[in-house]
Amino acid sequence: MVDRNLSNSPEFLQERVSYLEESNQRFMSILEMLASSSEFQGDLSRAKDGAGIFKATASQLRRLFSFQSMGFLDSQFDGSFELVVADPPGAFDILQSQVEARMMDGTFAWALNRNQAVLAPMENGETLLLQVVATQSCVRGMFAGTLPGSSAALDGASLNALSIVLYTCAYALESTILYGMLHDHTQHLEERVQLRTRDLEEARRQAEAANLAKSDFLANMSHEIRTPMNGVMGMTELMLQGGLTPQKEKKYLRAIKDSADSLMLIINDILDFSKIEAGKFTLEKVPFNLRDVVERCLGGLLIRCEEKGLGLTSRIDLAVPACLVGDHGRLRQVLTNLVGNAVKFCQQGRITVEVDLDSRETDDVTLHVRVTDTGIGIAEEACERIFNQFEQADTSTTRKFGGTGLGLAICKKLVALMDGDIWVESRLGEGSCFHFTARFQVGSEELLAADKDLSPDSSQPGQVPLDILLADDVEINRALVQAVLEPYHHRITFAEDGRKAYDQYRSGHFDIVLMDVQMPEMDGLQSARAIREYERAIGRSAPVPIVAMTAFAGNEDRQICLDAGMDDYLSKPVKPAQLLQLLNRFCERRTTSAVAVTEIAPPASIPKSAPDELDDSIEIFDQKELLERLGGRSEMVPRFIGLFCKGVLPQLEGLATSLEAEDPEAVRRHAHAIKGSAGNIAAQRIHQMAAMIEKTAKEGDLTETPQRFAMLQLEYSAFIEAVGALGFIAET
Amino acid sequence: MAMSDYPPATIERLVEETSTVYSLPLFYERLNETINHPRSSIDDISKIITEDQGLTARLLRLANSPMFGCYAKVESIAKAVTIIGTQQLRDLALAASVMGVFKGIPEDLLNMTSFWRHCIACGIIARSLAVYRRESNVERLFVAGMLHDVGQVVLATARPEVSRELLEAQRDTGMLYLHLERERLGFDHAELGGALLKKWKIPASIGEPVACHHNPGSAEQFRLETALIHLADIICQSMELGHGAEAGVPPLDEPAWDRLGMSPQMLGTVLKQSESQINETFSILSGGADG
Repeated sequence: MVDRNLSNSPEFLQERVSYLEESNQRFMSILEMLASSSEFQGDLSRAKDGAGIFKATASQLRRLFSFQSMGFLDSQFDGSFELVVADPPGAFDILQSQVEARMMDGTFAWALNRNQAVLAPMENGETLLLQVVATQSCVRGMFAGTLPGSSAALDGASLNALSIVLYTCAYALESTILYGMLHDHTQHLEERVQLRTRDLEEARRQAEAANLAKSDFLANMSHEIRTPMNGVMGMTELMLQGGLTPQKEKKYLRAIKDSADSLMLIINDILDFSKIEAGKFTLEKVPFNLRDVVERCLGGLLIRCEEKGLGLTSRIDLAVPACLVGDHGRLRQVLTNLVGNAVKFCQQGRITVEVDLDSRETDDVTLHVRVTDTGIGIAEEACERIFNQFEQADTSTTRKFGGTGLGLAICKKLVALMDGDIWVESRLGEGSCFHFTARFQVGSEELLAADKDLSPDSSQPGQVPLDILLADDVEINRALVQAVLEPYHHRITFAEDGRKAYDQYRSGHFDIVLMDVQMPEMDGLQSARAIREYERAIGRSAPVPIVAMTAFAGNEDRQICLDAGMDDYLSKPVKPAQLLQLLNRFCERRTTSAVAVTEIAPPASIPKSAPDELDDSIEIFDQKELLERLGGRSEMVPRFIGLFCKGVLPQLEGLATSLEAEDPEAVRRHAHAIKGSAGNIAAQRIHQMAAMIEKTAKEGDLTETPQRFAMLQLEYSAFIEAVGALGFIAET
Repeated sequence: MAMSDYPPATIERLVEETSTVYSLPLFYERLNETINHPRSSIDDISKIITEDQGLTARLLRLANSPMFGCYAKVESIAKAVTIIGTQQLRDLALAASVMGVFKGIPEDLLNMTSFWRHCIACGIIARSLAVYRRESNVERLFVAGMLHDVGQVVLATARPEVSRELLEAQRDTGMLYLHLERERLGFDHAELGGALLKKWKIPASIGEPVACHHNPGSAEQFRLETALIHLADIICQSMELGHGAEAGVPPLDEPAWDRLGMSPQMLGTVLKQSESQINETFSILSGGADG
């Protein structure tokens, strides 16, 4: 060591030179070692994990310093440190215990914060050096090394070299972690790409298949549309040629009507489907009586059933609320489609419709509807496919049974709009059961009463003659409306477009305006607006009711009409009953004659509770109601009555037998069947009597049944007599 | 203005004159060499310091002050060496002796109490900023802060009347002292101070920040440290933590601020931590100023 007292002596100078040489050598060797650290770099890049990096660093440090032992601690996720590498390996335990002691006395924590070497003397006289391994952002670990004696440990240059090596170590650790993350990420990415490619392939395949199906469909539809059109055109040609007998003419007209009807079905299907596809479809939200809707739907299909000799029954669970809020029209559409299909594909047996409560929340209910038939059944593999658009179970059915094949696809979409599902259980040759669920809000009886205008009551007693302005550019449309209204002695003024309608209105006086919306020159909306403005200008206090007649009858279109100043709308083609009812509604406000606008229940309906004796007011045969059911086709009545008799006689026999056998369940069954048929034919008294028998039989009580049965038979005879008197000879 | 008939005031001249009057404490060079000698031990190093009792006392008090976060009691210099580190202790020792170097400065020219208070504050704040940024060798910043305005002392010693003139001009015009220096002398006290430190063979890691602290862009090697001292000085001037010749607040150099990459919010935290340290350190260092 330098002795300053002899600062100028040769010994001093010698010592000084010696020191300077040694220092210089030390600096040079450190620099050289740091500069030629390619082995170190190589080891670092090859290292796969933290331990590898630590080992490489330890070798590098060994070249620089004479540590007796070295160790590295790795920082863990929870903030603790664990000794992972010791060099020589035998020194692991000693180093471990030393480091732990430093953790206890706070030196370790101090070293973490100091970011430079911290020395701690050991009991055996050696010195422990702790230095943190950290980048600017993060502490990665701690280096611990032991040095002999209580040396100053390291000179300035060596300390700097140590820091450099430990920095390199820290950054290598960071890189490894980042590389690891990158590798994982890349792999994950590759997997996802593979998955996506598969998905894409699948989607492409499906799109191609769908496209093919669509083209097939178009080809089929071409045929389905042309055939009835040809029928219409052919028949009209023949009729125009003239020289036909009235019967022939009627026959041809019937054929034209049938063709038009089936064409209408197809067109409706296609339009419905397109509208739903385009997303331009909203469900209505009106209160309705479920039982009424089901009854009416089945009633419409009854004829076809009876023609084919199929039974058609329905059952609605008592738990289902009477009044619901939703789109009853679409519900009916789905039901009609399913039951219609059942009729189509069923040659014998019966079709049953059942409605149960699937679930109930405070304001909502979910219904579960089942339509079961004993028809030809559906192959298992087709059960899902048939709900796809443009597909029927097998292409031969299109040719055999006709139709667009869109029915079930439309049902599926409608049901989905009603938050439900639709599916089928079936086996070839064993019939099918179609299920669907739908959600509705629960309504209340008052709502029902207030909104009820469902029953197209065609008979309007005491209709006052009105001045009606009718605007429509199509002659046949004008003629149709005229034909409906004339029997009621209304005075109709015609206009061919909106402008003429407006002019007519100004020059005349009208009770109501029926305005077609689509017209040339000036359309219905513009005309309505013009009329309203005129009324405002002249200060007319009571604006005239304007009713739109439009082919577009969705909610949005209705709103457009209302915004233009119209009061209501009728959808085309216009149903006579609806038109009449509407006239009634609007003009009742202006006329003082007491016309019953809404009737809660149609007259002569069956009282809900069965009294002990039959009320005399109940008719034997309600001809009016039957005619309504048959859509006015009175020529069908004889045939229908014949069918009724054919069906009821065996049931009466069966009832007698079960009564003798004292079998309440059998009695109930027969009575139920008789009740149903009688209801359909409007044989009200038979219906009522059968209902009473059914009721007590259900409770197991057959005491009064023999008398009632006798009365039933009397009623049946009375019915036959009554229809005979009316001129309806039962066709057998 | 009366620049008088004195020899022209160049930096070299001023430094030359000052270093004949004032010199670094003897221990510094010895300590530096011992630390750098490959074969010296902790005891060797400790011995040099303990020869100076006053310095020992001051160092031990510093080692046990809030500056080092009250980590275990440091009872001996040897312990201080191991805990604080050899080079760091050397820098700390230098900082602890600087106040005793400059004596006999006229009070009306430069209030030394206030001056040193400013320097200590600057050193503490610069050190705290460095600790926050996890820099190593934070003691370096402390001593650089202590020495950053030493150029003002040099001028006051070598050319007191120029110093007086500049102070008057500052009072009259309201301009910054440092700008007046540049205008009248062609250099400022930072450059002057840096030159003196170089003469004293103080490492560039301390010397350059001092020389460039009013012109951070001119630093070549130690740009980060320079920016730290620059910022610390401005903070001290704004918060009026003591003062030297400068009465105003120098402008903040934007590139230096950007280099530091700090948010204004953290300044509040750092300031809070530094305040307690400043007062205690001042009392420790001024207490043994004559020792």
